Formats: sequence, C-alpha cells, structure tokens
Amino acid sequence: MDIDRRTLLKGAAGAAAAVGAGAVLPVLDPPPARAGRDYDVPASLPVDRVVRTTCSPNCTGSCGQLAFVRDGVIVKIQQAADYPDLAYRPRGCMKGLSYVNHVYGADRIRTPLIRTGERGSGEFREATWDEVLDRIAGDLTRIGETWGWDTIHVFGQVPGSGYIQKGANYRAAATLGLSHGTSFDFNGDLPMGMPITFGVQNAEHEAKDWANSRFLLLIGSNPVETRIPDVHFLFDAIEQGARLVVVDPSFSPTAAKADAHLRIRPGTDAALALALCRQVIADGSWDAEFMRTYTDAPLLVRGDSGVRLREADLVAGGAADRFVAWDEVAGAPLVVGTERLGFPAGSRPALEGTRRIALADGSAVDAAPGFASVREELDRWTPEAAEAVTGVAADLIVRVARAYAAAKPAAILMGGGSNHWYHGDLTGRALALLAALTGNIGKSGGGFSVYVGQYKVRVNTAPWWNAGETKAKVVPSIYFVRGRTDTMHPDVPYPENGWHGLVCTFANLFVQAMDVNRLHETLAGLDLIVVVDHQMTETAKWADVVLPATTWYEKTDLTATPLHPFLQLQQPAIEPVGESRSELWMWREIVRRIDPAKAAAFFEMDEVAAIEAILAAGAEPGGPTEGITLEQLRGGPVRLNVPDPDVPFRRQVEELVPFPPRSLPVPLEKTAAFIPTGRIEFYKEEARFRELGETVPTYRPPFDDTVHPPADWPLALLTPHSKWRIHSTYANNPWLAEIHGGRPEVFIAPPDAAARGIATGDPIRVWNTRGEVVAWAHVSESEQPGSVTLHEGWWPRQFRRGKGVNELTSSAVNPIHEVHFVGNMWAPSTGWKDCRCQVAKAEEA
Amino acid sequence: MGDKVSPIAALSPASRAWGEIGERSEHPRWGMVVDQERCIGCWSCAVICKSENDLPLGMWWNRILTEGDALDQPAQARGEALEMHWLPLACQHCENAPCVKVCPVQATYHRDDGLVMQDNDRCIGCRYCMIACPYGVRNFNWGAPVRPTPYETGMVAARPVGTVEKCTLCVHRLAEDQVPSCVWSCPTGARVFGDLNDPEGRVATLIRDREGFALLEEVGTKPAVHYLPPRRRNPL
Repeated sequence: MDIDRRTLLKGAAGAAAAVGAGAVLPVLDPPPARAGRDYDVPASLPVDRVVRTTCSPNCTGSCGQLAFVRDGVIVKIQQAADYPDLAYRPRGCMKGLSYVNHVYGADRIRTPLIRTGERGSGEFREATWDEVLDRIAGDLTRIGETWGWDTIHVFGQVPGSGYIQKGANYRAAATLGLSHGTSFDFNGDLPMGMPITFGVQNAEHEAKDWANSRFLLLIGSNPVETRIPDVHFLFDAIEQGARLVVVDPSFSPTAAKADAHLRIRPGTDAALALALCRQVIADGSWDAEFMRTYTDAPLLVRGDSGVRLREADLVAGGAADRFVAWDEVAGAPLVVGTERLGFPAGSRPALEGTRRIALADGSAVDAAPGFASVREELDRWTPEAAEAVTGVAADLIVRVARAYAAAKPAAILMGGGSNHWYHGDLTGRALALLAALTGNIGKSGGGFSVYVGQYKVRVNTAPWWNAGETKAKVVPSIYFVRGRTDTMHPDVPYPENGWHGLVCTFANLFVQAMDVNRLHETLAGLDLIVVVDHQMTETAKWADVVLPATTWYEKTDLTATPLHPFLQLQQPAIEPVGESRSELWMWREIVRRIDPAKAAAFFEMDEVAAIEAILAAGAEPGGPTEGITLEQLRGGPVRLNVPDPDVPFRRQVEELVPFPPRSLPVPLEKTAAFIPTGRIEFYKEEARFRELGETVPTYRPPFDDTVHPPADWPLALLTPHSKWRIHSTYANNPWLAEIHGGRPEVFIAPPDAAARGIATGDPIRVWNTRGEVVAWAHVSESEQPGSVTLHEGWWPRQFRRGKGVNELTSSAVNPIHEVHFVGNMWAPSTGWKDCRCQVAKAEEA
Repeated sequence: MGDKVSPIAALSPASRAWGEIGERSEHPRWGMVVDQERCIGCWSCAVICKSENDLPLGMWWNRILTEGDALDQPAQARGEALEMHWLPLACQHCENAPCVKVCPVQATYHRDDGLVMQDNDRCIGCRYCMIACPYGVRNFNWGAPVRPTPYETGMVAARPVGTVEKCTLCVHRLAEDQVPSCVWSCPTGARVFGDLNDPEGRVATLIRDREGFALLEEVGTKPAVHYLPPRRRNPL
C-alpha cells in the first residue's frame, strides 16, 4: 500500500460504502451566491430531562453517561463531561453510546419466562412474577434441604460495575448459605504474579498517570481497542516525548500507534521479560539499592531446603517470622524484621555469595541471598536464548532493555493477552522484576500495572455484602465448570454434595465460560438453572426460569473501577422496561418466600440505604469514602479518598511501610500471608513452588502444548477482547454490526491460509480435542504465521456452527494458583489464550 | 410529561461548559481538525452522529476509513513494515462546494459561517449532488427509515423520504454554542472544532503547527475539515 491521503486513499478500506463513489469533478469557479432566503435552522428537539448515570458493562471504563429522555424514552446516550479532574472529561466509547439498542431492541427480555421445551431449545412461556418467584423459592428450598444450600452456585461477575446489585448476590448467598462464585480469577484476569510478588490482589496506576511516563512498555495489552476511554493518556505521554513499545503477537491497532512493535510468539512473554531483566543487569543499569531496600533479594535462603533462613534457626527462642540477611559491613548475619522495610543504618546486606551460617542447634548450613537464585535463572536468558523462544530479534531485545532502563520513569502495562495463560503468573513475576530492578515501583509515571477486569472493591462493602456478621462462602467458579481438582486448597468451601443449582446473573456463562462443553456436563446434573438478564442470550435459552432484569438505565447502583478514582452512581433514567426488575428486588422477593425472618433482617434495605451504609462504613479518617455524601454523588462523580495521582505502593516506597497494602474487602492479614517477608518477593519458598521449580521468575512453554502437541496442532488460537464488544455484550447491536459485518472472523496469516487453500470469506472449521466451531476466514498480515485470532464474545447464533469459541478453550488449573486461597485474590486464574487448534476450509456449503 | 427543555439547557453546568465552542472571530468560518495520530478508529464519532441525527439503519453521515487492507487490518506500506491509520470522513463543508454548484433548486447552499446546508423541503431527490461530491458523503433516503428500536431517537427530526442528507456539523447544537456531537464524543480528543477565520485560534494553529492538510486539495474544493497526519515514529 502506498499511503497518500492527500490525493485520497488508494486502498483505503471502510466498512460502509467505498470513498470516492462520486466522480471527481474539477472545481474551478467560485460557488454561486447564496440564495437570499432566510433558511430555518433546526433547533434541538426538546427533552423531558437529562439523567446523569454510569455505563456499566463488564468493561473497566465506568464512564459517566447522560441519558436524554423524551416522553419516557431514552433518545440519546452521550458521555457526561463533568469529572472534576479535566483529564477524565469526557470518557466513553461507541458501545456505550449505542446502548439504547439494547434497552429497546429485539433481544430485550420483558417478562419472566418458564421453560416449556428441552433445555437450550429456547422454548418458554411467559409467566407472572409470583409464579416464577414461588417456583424458584420452592426449588431452592428443596435443593437446599436435600443436598445442602451450598450446592447452589451464584454467579455474578466482577463487582466494580455495580456494588449494590451485584452485592445483592453476595448478601443473598450469605443469608441463605449459597456458594458464591468468583469472577476475577475465573475470567483469567486475576494477575497471579501480583499476589505472588506483592501480596495484593492487583494494584495499578490510575490511567491518568500513563501521561506522566517517559517510556511505555505495553505487553499483551491493546488499549486502542480495549481501553478506549483511557487510551488518550498514551497519546498525551507521546506528545510529551515518551516512547511507546508494544509487544503483541498480532499487529494490533495499538501496535499501529507504537514506536516499535515486538511481534512475539504467543505465550512466550516471560522469556522476553527475563531477557530484558538480564540485559538491564548486564548493562549495569539496575538499582541494587532498590532491590535491597524493598525486596526479598538479600534474604538468605537455606541451601539444604530451599526455604528462608529464620531468626529461629540462628538462636534458640528466635522468631519464625524474622528473616536473615548477610551484612557485608559486619561480616555477620543480620536479622531482618517485618515491621519496616530497609535495613539498619551502617549495614549493607549482600545480594550475592554463599555463606556458611552457624545454627542454634550447633550445626551449620550454606545459605545465599534469594537474589542469587534469581540471577542464576536470569543468566540463562541471553538475548539470543530469548530470540530462540520468542522470535523477537536479539538486538531488538537489547535496544528495548536499554531504552527502558534509560527512561525515568518508565511504565509497564500488561494486559490480558499476557495474563490469560496457564503460566501467566510467571510472566507477571518477570515483568514485576524488571520494574523493581529499575526502581520504577511506587513512582508516578512508572510501575508495573496489569489492566484486566473491573474487579476492584474500592469501598467498604461489608455492611451490604455480608448478612450481619455472616459472609458469603466463595467457591472459585472454575470448580463449578470442571469440578474440584486434586490440588484444590483445603480452605475452598467446595460443597460436599457437588452442584445442584445455579443462579446466573450479569453473565452469559454458557457461552463465555472456558471449556463450555465440559461446563455442559455440569449443567446436566443441575436441578435448577435460573438466569437473570435483560438480553435473550444463549445462556438464558438454557435456563429453566428466566428473570427479566433492568438495564443500568433503569436502576440504582454504585460503581467504581481500577482505571480512574471516581465513585459514581447509577440513577434510573426511565421506568423499567416491560416487567423487568432489579436484582435486589428479585432477591428480596425470593428470600421473603424462603425465610421471612431472614428477609426482614437482611433484605428490607433498598439501594439508597445500601449506598449510604457503604459510604458510612468507609468514612473513617483515611477511609476510602471519607467525606463523600450521597448528595454529592447525585450531582456527579466524586473522587475517592486516594492520592492524586493514584500510584500503588507509594507509602511502601516513600515511608518504608511493609508490603502489602490492603486489598479490599478482605482483612490485611489474609493477603499479607502471601508474602511473609513483608517485602516484594521474587523468591517463593512454599513447597509447591519448590516442587515445580518456580521459586524464582522463570519461563514455561504454553501448557496446552502438553494437551495439543504443536506437531499435531500447528496453530495457537488467540481469543482477544474485541473493540466491538464487552465480552459478549453488544454482539447483537445492530449499529455496530453495520460497521464490523456481524459475523465471526478468524484472522489467519497469508502463508497459513495458502497452505490450507483458504481465502478471505471462506467458511472454516476451527477445532481441537475440546470442541469445534465454523466461522469465516479473514486472511490478514495482522496475524503472524503459527497463530490464528478469533475474538471472544460472538454469540453462537452468529457462527455457522458451534457453541462459540469457548468450545475450544481450556479449563486447566495451575496448582501454583492453589498454594493459598482467597477468592478473587489467590485462586485459579484461567488461561483463555493457552490453547492450540487446527483450521481447515469447511466442507459444507 | 411536563415542560420540555432544550437538551443543552438541561446539561449540568460542568458538562455544558465543557462543550462550549469558545473563542471565535467576528465573522467565524466553522471548521474542524481531525488528528490522525489520536484517531483510533473507534467510530464513537460516527455512532453518536447516528444517534444525534436519528440516522436509520444502513446510513452513516460519518464513517471511519482504515488506511490499510480492510477494516482495522494493516497493510505493508511501501513494501516494508506494516502500517495502519484511520481517516474519519464526513461532509467536508467545502468553500468551493461541487454539491452547491450542481443543485438545480438551491436546496444545497452555504451559510455565512461556511456550513454547507441541505434544505430538505426544497430537495427534489435528483441526487446530482451525490454524483458531484468527490468525497462520497451524501446519502439518499430511498424509503421510510428503519430503526433497531420502535422509537425515533436523536435531537433532530428525520428527513423526508426521497431527499438527500448529510453531516450538518450539528448546526442545531452550534445555535446553542455547543460543539458538534462527534467532537464531544471523541474519546481521544482527535477532533477539534473552531473558527478557521481566527488565525490564533486552536484549529488554525493546529493546521499550521502540525502540517495539516485537506482531502483532495488538488480539486480545489477548499474543505472546512482539515486533518493532521500521523506523527513520525521514534524508533529504538
């Protein structure tokens, strides 16, 4: 292509009509004089009101929207531009702007429905609320009394997009003893490298802080398509002179904006990260003081066992939670407490070398700093070794390492493309190491941030999510899809009698869960499937009872996101469409029918009272909602009580407060147990890390290679998020379908297509041992040979055949993710992209 | 339903202030700058246009071309590395507008502020203007509008069957000192609206400082819409 837009767009392609449909006429004369009539200029048609609310799919945008209402109907949705921080004005994207088509469109569910045909047939009859509520209450009671209430799984997606309505699920589960599922880990978005390394669920810079960076290393992250409201912060940084480097197997639209695109082989990101770490050290451009002060680098690890040396090893009566370094100044062991980071003045803990340490029992043991093990692993990762694994040229790796290390501050943004792997934790650990080696942690414009999922609980939800003192039992939903694993953590409250019921809300679970054919085996054993939704999804079609939910333009809620620090309300713009009701209302009615006393105790609160309770619970000095009132929120977004800019680990780095900061809503001690040293941990001593050889950041080939050997299954199947959807939401939006064509395309590289006789537009089979779909080929240079891309979220009815792309994806559980257990914080994070396949031209017409 | 108000008067002061057009000369000529470096091809501008102006299914006043191989797919530039850029395209509001020249009934005309307007009461549906327009941005109402919902949406009335329509730069919003909706709704700030006649104004400054260009400059249409080219990359 020879791009020459001044003479117009040879080869430019649009989805609608081709440009230049009209002939190009030479225009030489001035235009005729304007007719002298007084033409009417149309004024805007008036409206009844404009309601300020918040867009709320499962997307992380949390974008303020204005609903323009005329005669009781929403006639336009457009972004609010009222953020007190001008950097965030306005935020939104084409999806939210087109939501009116879901409020009133053909797929809107308007009444309760009861199944009349086989499950999945989509045959229902309309029912009254009383009938469906009685039926659900009766069935839940029967299941509860027969099998146990915990055999009923409540699935509800990430809470940030609606603390109140999604919180109603938690409250109901706590009230009735149901098992509440998980979302952040189930979605594969939980970046396990974060709890392993930093002892937090996740911790990311607010999006505004990208603009303060001098170097942005994006890996498996495609914000041009998947962070549309925030991507301008990258451009702001570039305009200030920052460089943008994008690591992605595909030539993504974000890669199109980059100064350099590293086209990496899928699933090999950790190898690249390790090589970057090694190069930074080899160049002498690493920050030893940072490693010494804030990380476990100097803490001694016993050569005999691989566990850390404790004070209790050195002296009788010593503490088991105090660790030991080697002081090069004193030439003696130095006991290191966990009260404060850093070391006593005058000491200089060693980062290398093995020492013989005398123990309290009279014996002695060889011990070396944990960093020595890290260095030993890094030494393997020469640029050439990394090139052999990643396909990224060795000299490019060296140049990226040097440019990254030279720029201060430099930020690493990791996305789902890197995290959604069985070994995504290792990638995260290696990238965290790169950020720490260069002293980029806890600094504005720097950091290692992982952006996937609106998971974050930013307020004190306890008074609403818990039923009094009782919390919901949380069972990772991966164990609902595939049953328990042999390595499951004993603290997981997996129901003794297995699964007998499902209440699915805010989710198209039977399409969007991984390994859906396996999920359907679980479903076959269920006595009751209730689906709550406002769109007739494939999941709703499999339900026994469908409850019509309100959209977020018809109810009240409280939202927040990791990407920006503003707390916002959802406020109803219109009356509920049809018979639809809020989730809170549904649960209140169900609980009333099961146990009126419990309903009186826990379900008489309405949305506004719940919001007020949450605000009050976090209002203590320093609390997240200190000083925030409902009245303020009614007027627009209010900044949570967090520093500006919101940069994680700042207190740790500036005030030497031990890691981790608290991850709401669980108590600090639960996540602090992930990193007993109170430091950033690059050496993990727990038994399973030692057994699996993953004590330090390392690289493992994609797990699905063991299930689908590359020799037989030559293509990696990548299933990234689409810019046209939020997961499966918006897949049925008619406006957007006019742009993108409305049918699933499989992007395939020209050589792989040629080898199979595939041309653009051909129907093609995509299959592996787990499943098969038929979609349409799109031959494109965006794809590299050896992989194909089929974006997740298409509905089954849009394929020529199959239940959707998740027929092929894997539900394998990494036992490292089961070493500890806190739901959504240390739990099995799933590997959507860790998947191989084969493709061929479909035989059928 | 009670008294109705202008959708702009109903905005909160903060939102309303954000959308104000701002500085202008005594005799403004409205124009727009579209920054290809900031454009991400998201179609937010096109979708809000569809909503604001109640465009039926099948019609886009504003659409986003991919400079590449296909929608959001790159192509090899000059036989070398892959490249991809986006180019939003709507009525260019030409000073020397072919559509105005060929309209036999003066349904297409210029306002004093440079906007090329379409008077649907006068339009006879001959579609000469669609042939004359070198940008292919005019649309014809072949039949009754088909919408995905049972409701008329948007902030202006639908146009009659058998007439031509196109981008108005949201002239109904300009009257209340608000930028066009595509400018408001662009999530990356790729669109800047303002007065081309103000040499120190933002649009004129951007065109000057960033090597702004117009489409098909050589045919002499003198568009009011200008583009800023993608930046030069800063290779490692």
